[in-house]
Parts: sequence; structure tokens; C-alpha cells
Amino acid sequence: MFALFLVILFIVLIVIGTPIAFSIGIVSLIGISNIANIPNLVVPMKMFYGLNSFVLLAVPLFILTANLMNEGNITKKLIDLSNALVGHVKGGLAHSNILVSMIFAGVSGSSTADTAGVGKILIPSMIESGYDKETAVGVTAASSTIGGIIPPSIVMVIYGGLTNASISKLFLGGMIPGILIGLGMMFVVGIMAKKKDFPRYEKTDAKTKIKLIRESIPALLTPMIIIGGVVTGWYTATEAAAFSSVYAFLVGMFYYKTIKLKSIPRILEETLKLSSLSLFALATASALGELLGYYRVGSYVQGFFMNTVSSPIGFLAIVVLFFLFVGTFMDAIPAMILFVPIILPAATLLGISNVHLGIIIVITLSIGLVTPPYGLCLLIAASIGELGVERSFKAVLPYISIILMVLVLIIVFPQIVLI
Amino acid sequence: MKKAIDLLERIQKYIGIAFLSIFIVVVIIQIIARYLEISVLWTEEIAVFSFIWAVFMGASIMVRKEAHFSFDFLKSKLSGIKKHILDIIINVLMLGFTLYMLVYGKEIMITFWNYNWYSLPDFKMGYVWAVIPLTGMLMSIYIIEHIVNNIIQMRGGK
Amino acid sequence: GCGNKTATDNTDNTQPEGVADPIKIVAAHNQTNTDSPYQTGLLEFEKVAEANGVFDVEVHAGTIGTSEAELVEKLKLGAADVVLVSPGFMTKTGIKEIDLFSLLYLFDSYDHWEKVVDGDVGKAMSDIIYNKSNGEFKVLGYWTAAVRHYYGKTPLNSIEDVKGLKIRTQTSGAVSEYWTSLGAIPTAVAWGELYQGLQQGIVDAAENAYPYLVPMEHHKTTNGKYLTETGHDYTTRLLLVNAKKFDKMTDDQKAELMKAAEASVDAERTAIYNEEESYKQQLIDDGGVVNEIDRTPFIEAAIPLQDKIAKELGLEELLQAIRDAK
Ligand code: NA
Ligand code: NA
Repeated sequence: MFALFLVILFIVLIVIGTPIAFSIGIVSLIGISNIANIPNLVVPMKMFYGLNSFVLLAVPLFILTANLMNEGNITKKLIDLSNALVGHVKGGLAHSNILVSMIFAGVSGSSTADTAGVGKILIPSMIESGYDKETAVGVTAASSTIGGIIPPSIVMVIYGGLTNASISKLFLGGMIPGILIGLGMMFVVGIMAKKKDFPRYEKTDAKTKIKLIRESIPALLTPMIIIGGVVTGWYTATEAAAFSSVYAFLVGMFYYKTIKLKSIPRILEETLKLSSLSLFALATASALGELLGYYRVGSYVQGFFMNTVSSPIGFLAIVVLFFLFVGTFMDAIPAMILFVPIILPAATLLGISNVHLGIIIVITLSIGLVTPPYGLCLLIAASIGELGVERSFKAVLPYISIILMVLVLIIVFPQIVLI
Repeated sequence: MKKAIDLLERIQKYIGIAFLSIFIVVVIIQIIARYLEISVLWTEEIAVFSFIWAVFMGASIMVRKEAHFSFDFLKSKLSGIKKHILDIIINVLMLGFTLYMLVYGKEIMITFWNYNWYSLPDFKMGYVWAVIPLTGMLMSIYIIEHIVNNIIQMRGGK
Repeated sequence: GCGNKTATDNTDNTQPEGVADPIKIVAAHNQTNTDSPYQTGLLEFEKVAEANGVFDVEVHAGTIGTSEAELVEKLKLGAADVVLVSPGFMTKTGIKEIDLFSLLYLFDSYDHWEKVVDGDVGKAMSDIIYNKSNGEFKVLGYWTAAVRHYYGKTPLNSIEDVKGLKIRTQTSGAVSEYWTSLGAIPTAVAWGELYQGLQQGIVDAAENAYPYLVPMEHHKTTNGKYLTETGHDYTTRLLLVNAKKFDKMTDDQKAELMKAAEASVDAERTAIYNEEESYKQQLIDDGGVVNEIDRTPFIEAAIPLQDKIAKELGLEELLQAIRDAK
């Protein structure tokens, strides 16, 4: 009865517009205060312990890297290079858009930073070159979902923080699905290019190509340094994040000379603000996790799943449907914070590895980035392209089907992600 | 009044940026030390505790800016007095939570003040716990400012 | 007192009149794995404590905290009543004396360890913890997290082989000091990242017990393949109760709780001794390589450090008593 009251309270708080982090905190507080003998002090205490984890440091560090890259023109260099490489084929700019998102994904852990950074440049230039708005907005929004799938990935770091799954293993596991999704999207562009007769760029001559490649080397090295470093074990995920931000800073400051020393405090401030939003929500969600712990919700959910589905594939299919639904109106990070701790024990009992579960949840939630009502990448791309949300959403549907196909593949063949 | 609170926010911003910088530097030191084969075991604790300070500082600045993740479909449908009333309700609810952070955070801070750090036993845990009551207090100030502003605007008939 | 005795001894299915509801006990450890010996131990505690209807025990396997520091703090706040912690984390509470049990090569064998912790030394340490915590923590019994060995990219054949190795160890003072004194470089790597760390060479070696390293598959990595049975740490874990709550209980209730604690000690130790055997076998079956080594030089290197730290802690007598128990 009291549990029902808490659920209703939570929904009311969210609907009237109370910030999510505070809604979670208020519900946790009232819930804990209702349990005899358990002091309310555990709520602020748990907020502290929710953040007391070295791997979470990667979140602000990757956001800082993305900010430094956009500030330091690294993003622009990557776009120029992709255009030179694939711009001359039919639908070249669309292919280039996907390619640059895959490279960007290898540097930044954030999809929305990709939509904003790449979209600002490529959407106008695609429309100018004769693409319809749907294609420009659709391909930009859809391809930037790869940002959180190809490592590094902020969402994966948060998942690791919630489940104790190895961040390195999650990163490695995201690689192949991310590349498959990218290639699949290029395939979709290929088909549409024939149908809609997409324009092509003039072929870039070899000399210019070489010049562009030479100029982009420091930028291209960034994903290699990060992914390579984590894979070869030069450093852990958190250290890679710190290293990449220092690297992006040095390249922007001394090589491209586009970062000014006086803009550093502003970049740090933006990083601080943006990262504290999800991390403060993580803190209060830890208190909610504590409440669920005292109420033993985990074992109830577990019991429910044990009685209804017994096969891992059936279970994972339900997980995908559930997060597809949740992802339409929630951001990936709060969605995981709320529901992963509940789902994890049941998955463990069914013998599903937490890395496999994590990759599936991360990819499913990335679809939520391009579905209305709450899909940040879609909203950002739509507003840059000045296209209505509904038409934009129709434009991303073919690409979503690719992501879904990859999801089915991973569910059936876990080996793909368990490297 | 606004000026004083602006100043408070600015100070807090600099504290947050300072802690963000500290943990970046410390993580870098950790990588370098490992390659120079020097044993440093205190980096992780300093990095994590600075990180916690930075996050709480950032989160309270975002309270002042009213920028925390929230759903605004109800708010966007309302205007005038109704919108102000809704804003006040939300802020009062938040204030309940932040005052609670202040009061109980202070109790935790005092209770565990003398617990020491693991890698640096001379450092007290109290320094770290202090961030919770401090944040609770600052967030409460910002929220009260929002409530007051809403009331003033309502009186002005906006 | 006496009045309650007849009541609690009466163990019919129906509770006799005048007996209060069972006392709620929140018991917690930090391992999320529900097959762990900790869970076995606490479930036995629950079973025995509930048998006569005196207690209602709720066991949490990591659900109210996966950090030992957090569990100790919850014990102090009363948010948990019985928790399991390692000596290293107890030092955070300002009770430095407990670090004596973290010293390497303090114990020779499980027999030696049991004799010490179940004897006068264990009693003395539990008094120290009670007094130094101002009557907040009481030791209910001593558990173990098995015996720790070296494992790395090469087997150890002599003490010289340790020199220059980057080894992932616990970061508590005494432990890292010992490895440094042997010429190794203690390195901080989070437990969850250690598999990759060993696979990719962030560290050359690590040290832990079979029931912990084998489930994490560290023995399948490049730098974790060779295990040398250094046996440097017969680990101690403390089963603590919130002493304020304990002191309020009647003598009969206390006796019931102690009975449950004793049963849990037996169950946990038996579980871990068995697990140690089976995990060792699994490691060998998986292609890991185990060798034994003459521990004498390692022990000799540990003695001056033991003396130094016991002196700093003012526990020379206890150290001597531990050595005499060999
Ligand atoms: Na990425
Ligand atoms: Na893109």
C-alpha cells in the first residue's frame, strides 16, 4: 500500500515538473523514513557513496574532451577529411556524415555532443548541396546514436558504475555493434542514393587529400589513443578519459591553435555544469537503490521473471521492449539508474553476463535519442535543419530498423560483444 | 540581495572548477607515476573526493540556473499566476529536500568527522562529508531566491 | 534477567504470552555474489538466530552497500545491526590497533590463525575495538576471506624474483610497505579493472586468494597465469554487531545471538576452506600453474616490519602472544 503511494507520488512529482534528481531524492527520503529503525541519515550518506567510485570520474572527463574538440576545431578537421574521402560517391555527404560520427564516437562518449558539433556544420551544407531536409536531419540524428555505442561511452561508464561490470570489457563489447550499425546505415544511404538521386561532391585530388590527411593526423590519433590505450592496457577507462582531455587540449592549443588560454575556465565551467546534472541524479538514485534494497524489491522482480520467462533470449527481448518504451520519454542515464539495479539480479540468475546485458541496454536506449517526445539528438538535429519533429522522426525510421537488426543479432549471438 | 547571491554562485563556481582541475591533475599523476614505476597509492582517494566536491558544487549551480533535468509539458501549458504557483510548489518541495540535506548532512559530518582517509590517515573524513551540508545550504538559498522572485512577479501581476 | 529465561526457553510453535515480537536484525556483507561464503555464514546466522523466535534476521548481500567503509558507518548509525568488515577498513574509524591482523606472515596456517583469533588474542582485540569505539562496535566472531598468494606473469622461485614487479596490492599501509621492502612496486588498480590490467600488462602481478581470483578469471590472463603459494596473509574478517543495541539485550537474548554467531563462524570457515580447494583445482584445470616456495626468506623479511608496526600500535605483547601460539 505504502509502496503504491510512493509510486504515485513519484509520478506526480515528475509530471508537475519537479527535477528528476529531486523527485527521486524526495521519494527515497519519504520511503526510508517510513522504515522503522533505519535512520534517515542513510539518504545523504548514500548520495555520497553513489559517487564514491573512481570509474565515474570518466563522465566529466569525456564531456571535457568533447568540449575541447568542438572548441579546438578538431570536429571541423574530421568533417573535412571525411568529405575528401567519401564525398565523391553518390550521396557522399550522407556517407561522410556517418563516417565522421563513427570517428567522433571513438573520441567522445556523448551522442548529443556529436549531433550538435557535426550537425551544425553538415546539415546546412547537405541542404545547400541539394539533399532534402529529411535526409540531412535523419542521417545526422541517427548516426550520432553511435556516439554512445562505439567506445568510449559515458552511458557505459554509468552502467559499469551501477553493476560493477568491467568498463574495459563494455568498451570492447561496444566496438563491433557500433561498426555494424555504422555500416548498416551506410547501406541504407546507398539504397536511398539511387532512389532519390543524391548529389555527389567533386572528387578531391590526391594532393589535397594528402594535405587533409596530414592536417587531421593529430585529430585522428585521438580515437586511436583512447581506444587503443584501453584495449592494450596502457591505462584504464578513467585514465584514458583524463589522457584524452589533456591530448585534445594540447592539440587544440598548440597544433591547431584554436583554443585560447582565457577560454579554459569557461570550458571547465561548462563541463562541470553538464556533468553534474547526470551525476547528481545518479547520487539521489543511489539513495533510491538503498530504499529498494531495504524493501527487497530485487528479489520480487527476480521472482516475477523466474516465474514468467525462463530463457535468456525471452528475458532479453522483454528488456529491449521495456527500454525502448522507457527511452521514448527518458534520458538514457536516468533510465538506467532507475531500472538497471532492479533488472540485474534476474539477469544474473538467468546466466546473462552483465557485459552482454549492458551492451543491449545501451544500444536500446540509444534508439531513445532519436524517438519523440524526448529524443535529444532528434530534437537538436530537427532544430538545426528547421524541420518538424514528426517529419524528422519519419526520416530516422529506416536507420532505427538497422539498430534493431543489430540488437537481434547480439541477443542471439552474445559472442559478438563478449570479446 | 541578488548581488550577494551572484557572488555566492561565482565563488562556488570557482571552487567547483578548482576541484575539477585537481582530479584531472591527480589522475594524470597516477598514469605518469605508474610509468615511472613510482608507487603512489593516494591518488585514487584524492581524485574521488575532489570529484564528489566538484559534482555537488556543479549541481547546486544548476539549481540556481533551474537547469536540472525535468519534464516541462505541464509548465509549458501554463502561464501567468498559474505558472508561478506551480513553480512555487515545485520549489517548496525541493526546499524540503535541500533543508534535509543541510540538517542531516551536518549530523553525518559531525558523526564521522574523526574517521580518517584510507591512504592518507592524517586527513579527516569530515572534510569530505562537509560538502553535503554545504550544498544543502547553498541550494536552499538559491531555491528561496526563486520562491521570492515568483512571489514578487505574481504581485506585479506578471 | 531470570524472568525471561522461562519464556525464551519455551520453544513451542505458538509464542507464549508476554513474549515480545522478535528483535529485527539487519545483517549485511558487501559481496553481491549470493554463492559467497559470506552469504553462507550470514544465512546460518539467520537460521540459528531465528530458531527460537528471538530474532528476525534480514540478510543483505551487497544490497545496502558494496563498500566496507559504508557498512561500518551504517553499523554506527544503526542502519545495519550486524556487518562483516576487513581490519583495513576498521582503521578508518580511528581504531588503528586492528591493523595488527593485516600484517603479512603473521600467521603460519589456519590452525595457528584459529588458535589466535578464537583465543586470548582475539578476546583482547575485541576488547580494544569495544573500548576504542566508545562501546559502539562489538566483535561477534572472526571469519576469514581465505589465504592470499602471489600470482603474476612469472612464478616466484626465490625472494629475489619479486624485485621490480609492479604488483597490485591492497593499499593499506602495512601491506604496501612490505612489498616495497621486497623491491616490488605496489600499484593501485581497481578490483573490477584488474582482469584487463593483468591481461594487458598494466601490472605484472597481483596477490589474492583462490576464491576471489578464480571467479574473476585472473588466472586466464597473461600476467596472472603463475601462482606461487606465498601464503602471506591468512586474512581475518570481523563479524561486528552494533554494541549499543547488543548491550540493551537481556542475557538470554545475548546468549541466543552469540550462539548464532558461533554457528555462523563455523559455517563460514567450513565454506571457505572447501571453496579454496575446489577453486585451486579449477585454476589448475584451466591451465594455471601453481608452485610452492620456501617461505622462510619471506617470513624473515616480514619480521622487522611486524616488530615496527606492533611497536607503533603499542601491541608488542599481543604480537608476542601470536608468535608464541605457533
Ligand atoms: Na563513443
Ligand atoms: Na552524424
